[in-house]
Amino acid sequence: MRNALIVVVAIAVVAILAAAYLASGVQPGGGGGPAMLAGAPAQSFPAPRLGGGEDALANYRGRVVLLNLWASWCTPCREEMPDLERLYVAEGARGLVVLGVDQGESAEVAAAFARRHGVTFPVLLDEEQRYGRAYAAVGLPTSIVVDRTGRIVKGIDGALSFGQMHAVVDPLLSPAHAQSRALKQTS
Amino acid sequence: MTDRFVAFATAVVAVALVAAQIIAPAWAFVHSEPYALALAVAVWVLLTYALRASRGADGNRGRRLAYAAGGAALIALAGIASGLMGPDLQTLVRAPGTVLPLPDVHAAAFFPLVDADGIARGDTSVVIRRRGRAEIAIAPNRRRLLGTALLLAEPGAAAYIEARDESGQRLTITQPTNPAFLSPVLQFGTSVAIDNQQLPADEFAIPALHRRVTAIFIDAKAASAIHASRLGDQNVVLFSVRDDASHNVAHGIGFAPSGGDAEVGGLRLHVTIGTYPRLVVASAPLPIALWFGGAGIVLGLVFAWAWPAAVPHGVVLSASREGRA
Repeated sequence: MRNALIVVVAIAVVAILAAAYLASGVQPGGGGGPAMLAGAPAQSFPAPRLGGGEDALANYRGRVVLLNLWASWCTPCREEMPDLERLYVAEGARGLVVLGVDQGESAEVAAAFARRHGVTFPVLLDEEQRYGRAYAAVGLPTSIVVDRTGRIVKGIDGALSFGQMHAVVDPLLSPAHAQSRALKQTS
Repeated sequence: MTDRFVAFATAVVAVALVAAQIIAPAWAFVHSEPYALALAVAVWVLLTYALRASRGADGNRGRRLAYAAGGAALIALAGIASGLMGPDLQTLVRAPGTVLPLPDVHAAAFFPLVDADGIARGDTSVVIRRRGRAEIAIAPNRRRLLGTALLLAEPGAAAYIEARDESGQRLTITQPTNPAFLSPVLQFGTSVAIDNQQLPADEFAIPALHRRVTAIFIDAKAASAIHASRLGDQNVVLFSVRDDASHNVAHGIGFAPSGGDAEVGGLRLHVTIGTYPRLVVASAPLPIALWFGGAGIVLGLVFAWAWPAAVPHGVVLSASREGRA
């Protein structure tokens, strides 16, 4: 009789442990595309830079970065390019960097495109399309806004107007935002 | 046939069935109702024996074997519970760089980015992330029990594509029908019929040249089955190129082995063939129940046979009195 009791108790213990185990899990979020990346640390990959040398997103830590994925064949990318350049020139002094990342094309093609659109901001040549894959791009252009601490603030699929770009980066460029982020990090 | 023999045979069958669920998680039978019914009958037989034996119905040795019967019943019960609480059997094919929530397992699976060399080596692991716990990397052909789920990283055919135009300029590859839009890795998630053979297939686009490409993976065995001796005794990818309006283009069909180039429809496609893991998720018995059950079986058997049968206390006492007299 005592042995039977032990068997029953053992089964009950296992059942309780199983229930506790199942109840302790996480509930990962769903969704897809670049929008789901908000709050995540920004991934960085070294890549050749247009004009020579190597560069990576990580090299711009401490500045607000608007990472823009594009390709020369993409019509909305072409339309967005003058506004990106305008934003870079207008807000560069406040700590904004526009970092273009050409997806899967040769340096000659990307250089011709940049020349044609008067691009002066840095451009990475991502032949293996690693940035596009890591940032869950579901189309081009795709923009990723990264704050001074290297965290993704927003991921956006599709072309943006100057006003839309400015509305996203302006709060991040304010000194108050920089201070609050620094305080959060130290605490 | 004694009760003990019936219980022993039932225990062997029950443990074998649960072991089959772990060894061959993709076997449909171990996720079926007959499987659960067989285990339920086994639990009933084993617990009945354990209760009767613990009351002394099978002698002193039977009392100890009750532990083993209880342990086997616990393992069988874990097998039944996995079917009720565990996830459905599914094979998840996801592109490199993808994070996939696994709500049944309370975790997320991360499929790491990979380059052409990684595809050729076929050594990429699937990484399982759980909040507040260490990451688990599951290497190809390895499995891991996680709660009531078994996760198996199964190598699947994959190809890394690099596209250039006729002048050698690199071109963007997109997969418009794949959530991983900018992935140059093909995983052949669909199939096409050639000569009554279903062959793994995938699609990608080269937007700069307005080209759509169907890629068909043909291994040496399939090449022989479709009488394609020209493909040789090697794995190849067969390409069929169309324009944006799905019209065929000149010289639009060609193939390349791993490391080779195919010149098709104005494109030069360099292909690296290898594998990339797919994640098989299946229900599995709770590991802790298996440990407890296994311990019960081992202890029951060891106590029953390795130790001499205990002599009841009263018998020892009366024997010593007789000796004195």
